[in-house]
Amino acid sequence: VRNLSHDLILVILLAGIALLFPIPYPYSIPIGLLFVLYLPGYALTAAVFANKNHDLLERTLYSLGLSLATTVVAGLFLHLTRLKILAEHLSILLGGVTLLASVAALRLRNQNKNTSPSSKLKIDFSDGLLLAFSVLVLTLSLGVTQTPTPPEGFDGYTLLWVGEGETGSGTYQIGVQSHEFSNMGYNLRITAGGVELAFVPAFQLEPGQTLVMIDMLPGWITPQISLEAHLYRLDRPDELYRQVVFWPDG
Amino acid sequence: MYSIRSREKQLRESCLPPASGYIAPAWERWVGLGSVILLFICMPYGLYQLRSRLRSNSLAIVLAGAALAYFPLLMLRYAPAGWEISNRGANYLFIGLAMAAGLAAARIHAPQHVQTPLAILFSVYAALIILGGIIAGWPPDLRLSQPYRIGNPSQFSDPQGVSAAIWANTHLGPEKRVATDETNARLMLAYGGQYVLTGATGGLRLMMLSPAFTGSDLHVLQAGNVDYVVFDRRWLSWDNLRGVYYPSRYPVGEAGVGDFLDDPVYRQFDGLRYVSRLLDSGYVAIYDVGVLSGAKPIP
Repeated sequence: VRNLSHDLILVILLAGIALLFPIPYPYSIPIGLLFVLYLPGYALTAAVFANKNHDLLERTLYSLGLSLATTVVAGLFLHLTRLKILAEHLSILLGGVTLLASVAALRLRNQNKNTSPSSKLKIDFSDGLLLAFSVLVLTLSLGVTQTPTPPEGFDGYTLLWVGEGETGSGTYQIGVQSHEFSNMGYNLRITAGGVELAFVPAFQLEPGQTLVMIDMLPGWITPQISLEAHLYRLDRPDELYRQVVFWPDG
Repeated sequence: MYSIRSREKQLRESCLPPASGYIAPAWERWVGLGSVILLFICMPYGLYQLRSRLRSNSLAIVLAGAALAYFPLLMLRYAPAGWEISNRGANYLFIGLAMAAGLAAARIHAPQHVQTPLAILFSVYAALIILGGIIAGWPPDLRLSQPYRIGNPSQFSDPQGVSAAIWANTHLGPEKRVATDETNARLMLAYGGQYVLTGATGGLRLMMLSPAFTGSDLHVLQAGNVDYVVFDRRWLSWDNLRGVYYPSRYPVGEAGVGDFLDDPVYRQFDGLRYVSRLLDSGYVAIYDVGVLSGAKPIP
């Protein structure tokens, strides 16, 4: 194996890691992006054009296009074969394609010793200027997209949820999460079969704040009785704001 | 094509809200139509040039095929189910058409004294094609992005569907089978990591938009082995282009028919035994329908 094939060996190693080891979040994000946007195309380009010497810019372009096309075809394959389009399945397919293409490219490159991948990036001044301008526009665009719109003319909202308590069976959980634009006051009423289990009066939540209550279900609750939570805003106390229903064994 | 259009129209009228009533201004319609006609006029000459000069170039032949497929693909816009295919596919096929148009323009031999007016004419021609593409490709209210994230840089709020999807991932766990509308399906997939079911396939849209829960709706849930149903009160949630944005505050008294699902539709799972309404965010509600679909045993 010549020194010039280090790129393919690195790709083979990455593909092997992606195939053999589950990659935890958030490391899965950069690895996933590499496999969706670059590596399968890079390996396929190296295999298909083993006897051609493309410059870095051409190879990057081919790699991006071919990788996206490979991902689309992989998704279609998973759909048609009724396998679920899941991250694990896609990583096996994309990693497999990358691995096979890299091994083929490595063999072809060793047979054809006159070709070597060019690592030179040929960009003249005007292209560089255009590239710099593109990066500036992209940066500004990202900044604009991350800037929230002022809340005038919009209503915030509040999440109310119910479910089984985290500590296991026999408990329930009620959660209130504010996505309002200012501090908000609430009343919370919890009932079961028409009987009030709890009442949380006049509590305040700041924007983004969450209140979670975990409590024991009363012993007299049977599968035929549902638990209900009603949330009211303090500034509109007669109007039901949110409502959830929970069948403990349903 | 007429048959497809009629069938789709019937389906649309039975399942979707009345049209918004928007009629494009005359100039927009003329520019949109004009750009297509201009491209159609120059395509034969461009293809002729391609055949004469590049017939042995495989890439040129592929692009010529793309140019030829462009106009038939545009016809799919008349069928709502094919609109998205046409809108997305036309972008790629246009590369071939652009090459044909470029070849046609490059091969026109004009006398010296008309070259300046011709250059101006082609500039107008190119501008018309670009404007026509924008007009044909995007509805007027989506040509500029709508508000998505509301608040201030330190404290902001994303649309309710995003919060509901994140909640689902945290509290229900990923990979659950979730039936929902077009917008929330995408959010539940991207932010919630759920296995989503949406659209008209399997009677899902009819089930979600029916005014009462019936036996046939039960079959739809069972056939899809649905764990959860996510309802969004807004009709817009069935439009995956518009539904994803943060809704503006409705002026008092102006929200009404056409904006929201009718209460019997939105609340069709309320009151059903063993069906928990797990989350309520105002517009979005999540129901646990596992007992109905058979995914969970009856207690």
